Amino acid sequence: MLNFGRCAKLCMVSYGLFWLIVAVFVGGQALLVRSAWRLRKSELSLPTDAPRGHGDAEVAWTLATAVLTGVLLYCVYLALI
Amino acid sequence: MSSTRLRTLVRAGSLATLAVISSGGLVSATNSASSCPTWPLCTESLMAPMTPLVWVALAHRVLVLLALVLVTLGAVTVWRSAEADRWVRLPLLAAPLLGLIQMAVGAMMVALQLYAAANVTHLGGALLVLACQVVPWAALAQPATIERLGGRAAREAGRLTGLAWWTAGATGVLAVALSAQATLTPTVLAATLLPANTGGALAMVGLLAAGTLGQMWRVRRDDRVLLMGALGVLLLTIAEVPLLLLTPAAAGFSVGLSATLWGVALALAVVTMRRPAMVLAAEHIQGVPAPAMAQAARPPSLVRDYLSLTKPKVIALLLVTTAAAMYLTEAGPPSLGLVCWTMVGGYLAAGGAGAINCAFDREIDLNMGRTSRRPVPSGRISQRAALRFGLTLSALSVVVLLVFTTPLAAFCSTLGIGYYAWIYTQWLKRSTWQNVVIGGGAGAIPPLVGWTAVTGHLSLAAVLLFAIVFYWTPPHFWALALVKQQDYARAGVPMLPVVAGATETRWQILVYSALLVALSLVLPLIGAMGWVYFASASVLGAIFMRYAWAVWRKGDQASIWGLYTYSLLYLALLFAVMVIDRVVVIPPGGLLDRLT
Repeated sequence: MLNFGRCAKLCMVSYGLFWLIVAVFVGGQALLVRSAWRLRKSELSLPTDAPRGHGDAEVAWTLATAVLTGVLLYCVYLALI
Repeated sequence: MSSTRLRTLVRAGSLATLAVISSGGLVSATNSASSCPTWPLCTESLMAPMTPLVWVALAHRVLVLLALVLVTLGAVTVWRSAEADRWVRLPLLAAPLLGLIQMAVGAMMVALQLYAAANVTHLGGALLVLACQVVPWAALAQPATIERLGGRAAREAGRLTGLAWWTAGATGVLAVALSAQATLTPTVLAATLLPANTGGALAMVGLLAAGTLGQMWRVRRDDRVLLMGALGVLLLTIAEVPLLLLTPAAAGFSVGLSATLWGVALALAVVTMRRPAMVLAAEHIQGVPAPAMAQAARPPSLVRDYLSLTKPKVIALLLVTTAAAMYLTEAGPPSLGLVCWTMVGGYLAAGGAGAINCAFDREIDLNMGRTSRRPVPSGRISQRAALRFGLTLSALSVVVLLVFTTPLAAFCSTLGIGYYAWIYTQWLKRSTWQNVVIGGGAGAIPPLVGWTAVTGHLSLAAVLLFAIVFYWTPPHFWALALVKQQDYARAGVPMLPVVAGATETRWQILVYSALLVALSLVLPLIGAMGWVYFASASVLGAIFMRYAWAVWRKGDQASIWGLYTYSLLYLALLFAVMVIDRVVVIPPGGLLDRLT
């Protein structure tokens, strides 16, 4: 638990901060997945000799990062309660 | 007043201040201050038969008075002199003020009998007064010169000056740390007041002093004055090693030597900064002119080429995260030996992975301005030799970590090598614009190595350290990729700016920066860090967001370079703050515990 102190009010601060961080992550990862999805389509219009990724793989990587970070935050939640 | 007179006064002031500090150490070690309970004259004791302890305490006070007179005379002289530059003027003017504060602290210590509580502050102030004498002394001895150096020579000279100043700063910490053993009760050692224990501080000074000497040898080896100075600092540092064996009560005897080291290191830093880089060797070596900085411009040697394959600049930051993680575990501070071996193993592993990367990336490096002069693309080292070198270093790293740390640390390190050399270099870098995101996992492994080297197992806090470095990687490397976009396009590397353009990259930098800053605040939630870290991480994160916002809004070269350079500083400071928080606040008997 956050070393802010031992009283209930400060523990509430810890929980509040945790959920704020979760909200930032959900919002941030959603934006990143949206970007990857958008880029997947636009990559099709690039010239064939231009460096490019693999659209589906990019989306998969982005989703994998989001899921793993979600697992990490869940572990933090378990440590918090 | 002539400058000769000023020089004489400053020299006398320096020596008198050094004598004051040395005698102060004696007072502390012999506890003679309690023999003179009145201040300043010690009148009660003078009525009784004089004991050696009273003599020691009285001699210290007489020396303080003498030093204060000399320091004040120096200040008056420089006040009336219009020629002195700021390195002479400012310290000399500040010295009497500091001296008066020192006297007040000294009087308070005696009157309130706060010997233990105020001793560290008292010594810290005295070291500052000494600095205010030594710096002008060195500045007067070595007048400043204006010279224009080329890019590389200027960089090398700047690096040397920086190292010399870092060494000087570390010697100051060492002096206080060594003396703190004498002033605190045995259960409360210097480590609770300083972010370094005496052994750690001495090791740090040793490393910095050796680094300064090495850099001096590289770029100013014809300048014997500087070379001897750097050697002197290193030898004095080595002479401090036996002082670690002193008992806490006797540690005051070490103060004189520590203060001397502090003075010499400061003088060396000032002289290094002001001495012209292009000193002709003829001035020192029998008539053979050879501009010293030519050393920096000569073609790279084979040894230097092999060293550059290990990417030492990149490794430095990785080792910071490794070392910091070692101090954050629940097992408490590790031994110096364990830290050293983990650093050696970490360097070998990261260096090996870097060399393998150089071997595999030959074609890419050839097409990029930033990397085309590396040993492999320029043909000075063959691809096969680089690969062999990288594999050898990697194998050595596994042996070192396995023998001196834990099997899990060796495993993590091996995983990092494979991740970077094969998964990132051979696959991700060439196939996806997520290369630095997913590849960032390789750079995030060093904290795990440090953590497991101490504990032998992983925990949630260790994984969070991994995640912090992981999320730090995209903003940092995409900032570089924005600047070098054309290079990456020419080399056919699908970096995000090449594939998706600068605007998309700037947007993703902003998003990843927000995720990084949010993640950096998770550690205190699980009790791994405290208030000091939380406050510092918030401030550092706010600055990071400011830079990321500037990149998103402006997107000019200045803002991008600003983010790139700050991100380096950010990561180093974040991990440094973790250590400070852990060492100072968290342990029982830590600073906060003692205040509350």
